[in-house]
Amino acid sequence: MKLYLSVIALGLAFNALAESPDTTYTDISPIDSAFFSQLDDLVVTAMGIKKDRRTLGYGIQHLDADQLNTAGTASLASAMQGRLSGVDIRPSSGSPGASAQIVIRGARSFTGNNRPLYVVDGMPVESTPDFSTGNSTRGANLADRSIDINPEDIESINVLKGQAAAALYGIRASNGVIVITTRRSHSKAAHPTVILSTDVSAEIASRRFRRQEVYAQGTSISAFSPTSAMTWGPRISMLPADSKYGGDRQGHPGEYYNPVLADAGLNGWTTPTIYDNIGAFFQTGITANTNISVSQHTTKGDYAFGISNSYQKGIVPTTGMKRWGVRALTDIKLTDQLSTGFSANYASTRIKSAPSANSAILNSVYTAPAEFDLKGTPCHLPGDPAAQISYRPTVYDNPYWWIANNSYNQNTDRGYGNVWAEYNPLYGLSEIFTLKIREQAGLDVYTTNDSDVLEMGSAGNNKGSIDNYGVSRIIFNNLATADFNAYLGTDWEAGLMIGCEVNQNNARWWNYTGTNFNFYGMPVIGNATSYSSSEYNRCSRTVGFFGNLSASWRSMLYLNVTGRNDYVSSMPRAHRSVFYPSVSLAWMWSQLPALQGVTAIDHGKLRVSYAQVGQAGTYLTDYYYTPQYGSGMYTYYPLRYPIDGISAYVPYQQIYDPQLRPQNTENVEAGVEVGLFGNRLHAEYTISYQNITDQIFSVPTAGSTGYQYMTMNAGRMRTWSHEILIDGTLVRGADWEVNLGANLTLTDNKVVELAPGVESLMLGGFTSPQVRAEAGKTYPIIYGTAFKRTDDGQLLLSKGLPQATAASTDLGNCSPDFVTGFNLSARWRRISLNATLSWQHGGRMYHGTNMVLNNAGVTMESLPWHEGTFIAEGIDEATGKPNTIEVERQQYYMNYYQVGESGVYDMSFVKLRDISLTWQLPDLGPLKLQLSAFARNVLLWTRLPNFDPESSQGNGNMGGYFERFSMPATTAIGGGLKITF
Amino acid sequence: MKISNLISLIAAGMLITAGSCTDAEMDRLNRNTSNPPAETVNARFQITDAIVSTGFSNIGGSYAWYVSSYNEQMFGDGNNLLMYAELRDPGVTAAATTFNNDWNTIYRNLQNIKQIIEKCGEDGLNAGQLDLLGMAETLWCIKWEIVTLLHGDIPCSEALNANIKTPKLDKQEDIYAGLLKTIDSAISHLTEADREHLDNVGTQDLLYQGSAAKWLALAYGIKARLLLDGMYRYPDCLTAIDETAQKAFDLGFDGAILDIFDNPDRDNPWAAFMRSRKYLGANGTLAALLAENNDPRLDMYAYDTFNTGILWAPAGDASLAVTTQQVGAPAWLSNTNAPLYILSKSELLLIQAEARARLGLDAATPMLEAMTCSYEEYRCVADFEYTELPTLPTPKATLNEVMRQKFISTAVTGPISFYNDLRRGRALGEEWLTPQNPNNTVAGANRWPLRLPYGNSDVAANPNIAQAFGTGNDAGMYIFTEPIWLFGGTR
Repeated sequence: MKLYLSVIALGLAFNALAESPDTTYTDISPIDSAFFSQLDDLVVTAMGIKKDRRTLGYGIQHLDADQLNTAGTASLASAMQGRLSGVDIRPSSGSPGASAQIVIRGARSFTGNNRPLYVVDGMPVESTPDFSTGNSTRGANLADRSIDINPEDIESINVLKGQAAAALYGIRASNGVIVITTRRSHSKAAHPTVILSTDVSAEIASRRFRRQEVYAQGTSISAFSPTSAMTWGPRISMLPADSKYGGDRQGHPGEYYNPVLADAGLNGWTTPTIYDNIGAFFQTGITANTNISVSQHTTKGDYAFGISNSYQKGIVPTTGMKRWGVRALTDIKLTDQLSTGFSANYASTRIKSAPSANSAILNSVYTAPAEFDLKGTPCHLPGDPAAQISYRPTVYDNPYWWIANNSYNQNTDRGYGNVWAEYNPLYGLSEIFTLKIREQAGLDVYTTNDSDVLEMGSAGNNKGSIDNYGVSRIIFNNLATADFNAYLGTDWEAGLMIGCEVNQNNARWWNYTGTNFNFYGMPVIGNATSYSSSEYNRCSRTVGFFGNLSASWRSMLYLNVTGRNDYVSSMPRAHRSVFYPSVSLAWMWSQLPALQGVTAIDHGKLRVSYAQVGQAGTYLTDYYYTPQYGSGMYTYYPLRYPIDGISAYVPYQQIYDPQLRPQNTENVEAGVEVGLFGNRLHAEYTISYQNITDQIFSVPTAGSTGYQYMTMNAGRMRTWSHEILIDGTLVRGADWEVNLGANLTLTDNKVVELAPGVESLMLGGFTSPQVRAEAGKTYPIIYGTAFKRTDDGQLLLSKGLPQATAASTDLGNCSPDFVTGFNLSARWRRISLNATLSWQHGGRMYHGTNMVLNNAGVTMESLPWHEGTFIAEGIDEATGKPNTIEVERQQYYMNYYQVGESGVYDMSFVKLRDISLTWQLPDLGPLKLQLSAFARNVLLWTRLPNFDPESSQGNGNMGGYFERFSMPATTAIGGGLKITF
Repeated sequence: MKISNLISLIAAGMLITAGSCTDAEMDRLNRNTSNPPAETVNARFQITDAIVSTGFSNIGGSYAWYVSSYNEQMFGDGNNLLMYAELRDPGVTAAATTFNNDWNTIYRNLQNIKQIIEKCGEDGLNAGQLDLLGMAETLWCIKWEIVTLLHGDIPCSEALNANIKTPKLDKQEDIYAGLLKTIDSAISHLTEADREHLDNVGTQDLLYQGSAAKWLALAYGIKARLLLDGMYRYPDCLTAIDETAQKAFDLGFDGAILDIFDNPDRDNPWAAFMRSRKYLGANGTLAALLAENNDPRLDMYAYDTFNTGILWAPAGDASLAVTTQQVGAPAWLSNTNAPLYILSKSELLLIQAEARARLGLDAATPMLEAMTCSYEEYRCVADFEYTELPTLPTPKATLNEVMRQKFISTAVTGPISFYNDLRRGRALGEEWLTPQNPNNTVAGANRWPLRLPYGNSDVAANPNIAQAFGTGNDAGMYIFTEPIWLFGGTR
């Protein structure tokens, strides 16, 4: 008797019902055991339904724990990089706790959430950042909440990429779903299994910037300028001859005078010396992960308990992360009909980060003149620690002053998990029908307390400030399902699952700020003399009813039909109810009688699916608010209400369309899979088309409407994506096994149209350049001022110098042409080698650091431009004739690197993401020992000069494409130990 | 478990679930509990920010900082945006992005005032509150005056309407005529409010504490300035200007001064900008004029802020523009508590003096009084102590001298007004001061902005503005060739 239909387990690998000790996922009985011998490739699909992946009518990718690169990182995103096709993972940097943007098969929302839904042990958990970095032009990066998930706790990940795969999750799942199953024991044992694992690694910047060390501080070759932010000054060797500061004619031969040194209490007279300010600033980072777990599998169920700690010290002093995690789960078989269990997780995450872009500290590190000893010179006036001094105007902080005084802190305490009960009323009563009724209630509760501390004397805010802000969330999720399966003769199998889900999210944000400290040394609220505060509460609920009908014929055709109706509180009354269908069909053509004798083909499948899923927006009736005054021109809020007890209200700048309806993603997907030569070669190709209509976004309105944004449905995107996966076992033997995998992703994510009258949409960045969506272009693009050119492309020069257009324009497409990853897994006896290589071709980013450093005469590339004059090629705008005006090379170079276009670079790269060597020692009695050595980001080839392209600004959709003195990416080398007994 | 119990349990669960998504329940959940609905807010709470934003954002923001460089009242430095303004780089001066914030802000402020005026209408929450209405109308005129005089033809009749996303451009001639009507309406409403001793605003009025009489005087002052704006097109308005200004003084106009700044809670925008960016310094053109006249205001204007010995920079000096914290800045840029002038007494006196000089009447009286007022305004914003008024020069009250005095006084109280004056002077063929910035022309082409470019939000989202702004290499270049209609242009 064969009975195979959807097996509901809601993400929990409860296997108590199966008596077989080594069968992980079998949970239906009585069942023909011969059938399960085929089920060696079960995966968790939507709502925890486990299926043989070969029967699925849509694409899904499965990663086991050993396929995650967890060594040397505390980030799940980082652990998955290079392993997945169709999934774009863009880390913001190598800084501890740095956010990462994960997008599956291209974006679906111009400005909204494009991150997948995370489901841990059947419970949807929050993974998005609670605080946006906005335009990402100031402050520090802010973590997304996937950082609370310890990659070491993960047993497996299933990535539901297409909408057909995710449709059962309804409105929250249009971006795909990452279904995580945490570790547990699968082998029945008399004693608990204890695993102790630890790894430690040392980190440095993956690419260290090397500045020119020939020319000194100054704005022109003719004079040393000890307060300039630039190094266009005279040759360092010529400083003693400087007309104003040189010592040759002032009784200090061979020396020059630097008043900044004198301010710092040092001897102002000094000899020209070269200092490695960049090398001196960065420290060696450390990442240490430790995990202890105890687990056991028995006939009555199983349990697992674990404690984990991640410790990271960043390469920028004072930055780092500490994370503690505790988890426990049990699956208990009460009777043959009734089982229950729970999963509970606690995470405490403490992150310290450093600011970038307009608040950057690396700006002053990179631009520090080679002849100035940045580390060795006191960073404040003698006896006055609040009066910072630097080699340049302190509109940017002296980095040493910053690390001694300021900090950006993110602290989150979080608990999430669920309890469940499962009832199987027909157990033992029927061999034809099975029915499972399951109830699961879960909570995801956390509080984030962040604090931005700027001590008295900070750049742009010399009176100091402390900004304490946070969010408290309570998310309740209740899921009830009934799953009915039937065997209908020898050819047909069928099943029906129905269920309902309630998800309620209560959130409260707050902010309390104190400014103007009384005195230095106590940068706390209590020492402030001016205060402001705010809070915001929000509640949303989604109620979904869903069903899943499945049928199969002769183990050859598999049909799956789903439908879900969601009711969403955040939408206007008339558009709260939304229905999303999906249908998928898999044809196991390898089951054709004609192919039964072909031994080379193990399995072959064609699959096709269609689905619709949407995203809800937030609709509010028009409201007023109390404004506060600030803009990019200010480094703080100069004016807030109340004013001497008087407050004010004005219309909020954003309004909402009362006709707002959920946006819709329509997806058609087709794929072919084949397994050959005893499953030693597996290949898979998927083509997917997404048509995203009725986008909900805040349409930037013409300012003359009196509003800035209107939340409405507008615009359309479409995405073609092609994914190829190949896994092959090249060698397999008693001593040897070599597996090689490759994945390739081509995503063409195009903005078909925006709102009427809206040609483009800012995602973040500066006024120019910025990252934006533009109608008719690939999503997204860099947008900014370009060089003024003639129709045939020649530079249009003004007084011999390049100039910018007054209007901004498309400066390049950010999306890569393709991304590919190669995975090597080789074993010789007890030694195994694993490596991941990533290759990204194409894609452009704004790299502000390169641009600014060129403009300031800091880069090695600038060296030929410091002295002399030349006549630039181009057309003189005044005459319309070829340019004949001779200009200083320096002036030309500076003007060139003032135009936004000059900061846009190709970010193609090839990167050896990780390589690890593991030695499984011979068992020492009950002890199993494993030693490993590993390295991450060790080799990098890229077209981007000077820096690693995987370092950028922003924790949203602009992430990965806009860089400006961002925290660097890192290279790590380390080792690990794992003890099992 | 019995099947019947199971069914009961499932039925109860379904009922609870279904009950959790009724419209009433979902409405309750989606209620915005942190902000008041638009229709419930009394407009007296709105007028407060209408006043504050006029000073802080419209008169005291980027508009003023940039045009003070164009006027040669300030020197832009700091190797950033204001440096490009000082160097007259079209990539900044003509860019739609440069004034985008100011453009958006002023229209948002106007939206607020529009809703105040609507609430003062029949059946509105503030129906019959003529004092509030008159204040709103006065501020309405001040803001529209700024936006049309800086940008020329702009969206007006179709603006401020959520249902019209691409408002058309209105002719400046029509907008200007509308403003004159509105200011007359304000005068009428405030006169009535004053007569009836209405006080619906009270302490929410951070300018005059709800005094309709003082607002009435201000409305006359604004009307005088509006009339002066139109002098090129309507040259016979001079007598009306003189009389309207006099009416303001007769009603007790003593300056519309927004004196709300009190560090650390609230900083004057000029000082906050300086504290944040340090992009402004003293301009040699103004410093030289003060020095030439032996004017005591020089001490407050050319001030060795950074102890570099560089008190001011010659207009357009590239080598100093690239520096930060080198060129001394006027003392008031360090005074975070300095008040802002929505309309200064010195400015209105000089408006009257100009009209009188052109009419051949006595201009000396208002001009000399303006100088005294201006000195006090300088001293007040710079927070300079003195025991007695220093001896001020007493130049002859020629038209040129009146305008030179306005050049000096508006450096503190209103660079935007003087930018309007300068362009009006160009239209009239008058040059009261010789511009010193060598970057004003490049190879014979004008690079001194005759107007400011439209805001980028409209250039991007409103085809009517996009067309007016231009594309490609020509984008924004109209600001160097086409004056606004009031000053001799066509749009």
